[in-house]
Amino acid sequence: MSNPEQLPALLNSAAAKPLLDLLKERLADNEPLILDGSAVSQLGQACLQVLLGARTAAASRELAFTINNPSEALSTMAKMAGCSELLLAGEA
Amino acid sequence: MDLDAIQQMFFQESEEGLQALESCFALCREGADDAETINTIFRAVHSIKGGAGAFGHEQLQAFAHHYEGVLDQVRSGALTMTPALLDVLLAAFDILTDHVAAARGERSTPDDAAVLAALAGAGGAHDTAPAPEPAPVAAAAAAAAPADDFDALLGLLEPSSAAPAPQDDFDALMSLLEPAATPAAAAPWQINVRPSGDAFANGGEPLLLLRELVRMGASKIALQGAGLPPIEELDVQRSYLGWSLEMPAEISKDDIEAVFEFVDGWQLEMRQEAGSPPAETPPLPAESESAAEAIEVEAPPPAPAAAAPAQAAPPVPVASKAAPAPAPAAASDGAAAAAAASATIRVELDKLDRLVNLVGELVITQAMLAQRLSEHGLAGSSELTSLENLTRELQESAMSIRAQPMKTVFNRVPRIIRELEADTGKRVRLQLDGEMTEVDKTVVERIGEPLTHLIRNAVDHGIESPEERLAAGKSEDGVLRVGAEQRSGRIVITVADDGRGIDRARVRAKAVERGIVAPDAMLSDEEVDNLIFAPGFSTAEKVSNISGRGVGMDVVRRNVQALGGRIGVSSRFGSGASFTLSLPLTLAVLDGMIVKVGEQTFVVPLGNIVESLRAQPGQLSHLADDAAILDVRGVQLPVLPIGALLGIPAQSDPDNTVMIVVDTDAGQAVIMVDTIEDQRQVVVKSLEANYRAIPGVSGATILGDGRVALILDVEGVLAQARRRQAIAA
Repeated sequence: MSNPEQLPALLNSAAAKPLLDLLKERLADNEPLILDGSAVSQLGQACLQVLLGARTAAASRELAFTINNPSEALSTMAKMAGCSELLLAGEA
Repeated sequence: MDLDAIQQMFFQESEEGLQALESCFALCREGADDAETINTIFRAVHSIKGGAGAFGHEQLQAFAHHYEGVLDQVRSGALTMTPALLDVLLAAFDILTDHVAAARGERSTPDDAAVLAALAGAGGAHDTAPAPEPAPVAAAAAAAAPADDFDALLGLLEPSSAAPAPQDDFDALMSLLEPAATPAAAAPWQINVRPSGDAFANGGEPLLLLRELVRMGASKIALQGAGLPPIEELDVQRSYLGWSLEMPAEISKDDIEAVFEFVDGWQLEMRQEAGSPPAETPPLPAESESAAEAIEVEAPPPAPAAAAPAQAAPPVPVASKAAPAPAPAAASDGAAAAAAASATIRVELDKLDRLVNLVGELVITQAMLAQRLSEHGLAGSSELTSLENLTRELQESAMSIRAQPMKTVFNRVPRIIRELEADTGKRVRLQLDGEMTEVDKTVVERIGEPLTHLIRNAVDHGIESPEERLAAGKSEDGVLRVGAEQRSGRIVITVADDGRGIDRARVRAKAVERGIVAPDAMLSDEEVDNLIFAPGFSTAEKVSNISGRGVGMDVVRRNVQALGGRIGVSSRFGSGASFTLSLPLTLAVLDGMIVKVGEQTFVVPLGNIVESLRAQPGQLSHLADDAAILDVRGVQLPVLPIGALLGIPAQSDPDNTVMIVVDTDAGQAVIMVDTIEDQRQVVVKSLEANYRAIPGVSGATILGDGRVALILDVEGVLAQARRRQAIAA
């Protein structure tokens, strides 16, 4: 995955399954997880769990996991959920 | 329980909260604005706000937030309760009620701008006062941050907020999330919270609740993600995360628990210890199927306690108004609350109605069994008597479950009065009596409209303007008394005012002008008073938007009669009028007299019956074919030949008939029947629901021998007889 994958605006419960499938697919292909969070306006726990799971999986495979350009909303929600470091500054 | 059901519970509890607010504000109006009353008001608004946030009712939450802010200042003593402030709080209460109704989808969102400005004015006035004592940083930031910051945060989890919020809002929000720069004076709450595994079911979003905690001042939020499985095993439908966080000591335990009031199965652990970092928290226990469990470990009292952990420090007293109660008191409060919570359960009305219907069927079956046994000479058996007693007791118990206090209706009255005062410029002192009088839920639900109309009428037509009252030697404030009491197995509701009373000369003139009565009609005072219930009658000089359209009082009477009730009025010109509604306690059972007319059996409601007698020779005078009058101790009463009115062959020989004197809203009359069979309680079955409405018949019942008996609508039969006479004339 050379180009960052654009995260959708709504990372709500409905978006969790498509996001999970996408990230699992990238991991299966041993591709680094480079995500663009600039469009995210909403983050729910279901998607937060997927992102956290993907980050751990990427680390275990020695793949990069980065969310570039996190939107204010994404930063705020991640910080509110106590995982800003884990999620936004994460790297393989 | 799905999200909808939980939301319904929130609405029910909001309704109860609003009722509590109304009661508390009534106390405030009487000058009893003590700390406990103000605290109750604050808690009710706070609870509504918390639930609104959990279910995404942003406008309700935002309004409640502003409202709560001012109440908090009153609670802390920073604002003093004055009549002007009370007016603002009452206006805000009305808007809050409207917001709750809007959240339920019962009305549009109210325009709250004016009241918000008034609240801001009330709260703003306080800003010029000396600054309050320093609060812990997080709480202070939460209190000081403009509401818009929260609104920006509110939007983050909502689909509608696609556009990023302005930078400033986020900065303000971020500042809320910063850990306290200096140690708090009192021990903050250390909280561990873990949503249930199925917390996402039905659209649930745990971060909304976390957001609410942040808004209340949560800090040091740490994620507990140890339970998160490898991504291959991740189920997006399940929640795996938990959080530890710190809440300011000033936030009460109840307020924190209120955030989790509407979620099931969450694990919540709260403790209050000085100086213990929350970062490393023990693993939470396994998930429970029960509702969110709150486990609180209170800080030990200053006195040495064997069980006290060595590192735990005693709670530090703080100057703030929200300082938690001493541990033992809080613990006992908690126990009392838990006991109160377990003392009641919520039951769906459908289930209750099914139970009541089944009990009704049981009563009928029991009557049938008694009939069958009596045919075999076993009528007097003790077992049958026991069964009869038990059945009646069971029926009364089942009906009592449906009983509700009139308070649920009366609680709406103060707002009606406030609105009327604003519309008319009159001043009214409301006196509510008998709020705890219990009556069947159906009656409670359907009495609201007639009662509202009577109250509006009393204020609009009855009570005079302050100037008129002063001129008449009365106090400026009119008095309106609304009361309820049980009397002889019925509920009697009274709406009485000390206004101008009914002007009989004017009522009579208007009735004549409208052709309701003949100009030369001889009418008693009572009959003149009753003219106001005639269709199309109105004496209002001008049509107002409150009443006076002339469609009111007859509709009120019809509504009351539809409930099996009656309405009466008594008045003294210049001194006021009193309307009395007499209603059955329940609509499901009825005490009645079983009578026969020809081959048909009828039930005459006992509430209508004055006496029964056999006509003596000369007592009955025939006027026309089927019209007659009976002389009852000198009073001439019209005789209603039920057989003729309902088209049933019946006895017409006075020697073989029974005369039943009945009382109706339109006066007394006599029902002529063939025989009286029995007097008993019958189970009422709706004719409309099972067949169709029949004039003169209010319902049906099933007798012990399986026959269906129609229940006479005495008012209706009398009206029918009068129409026949009018046509014949």
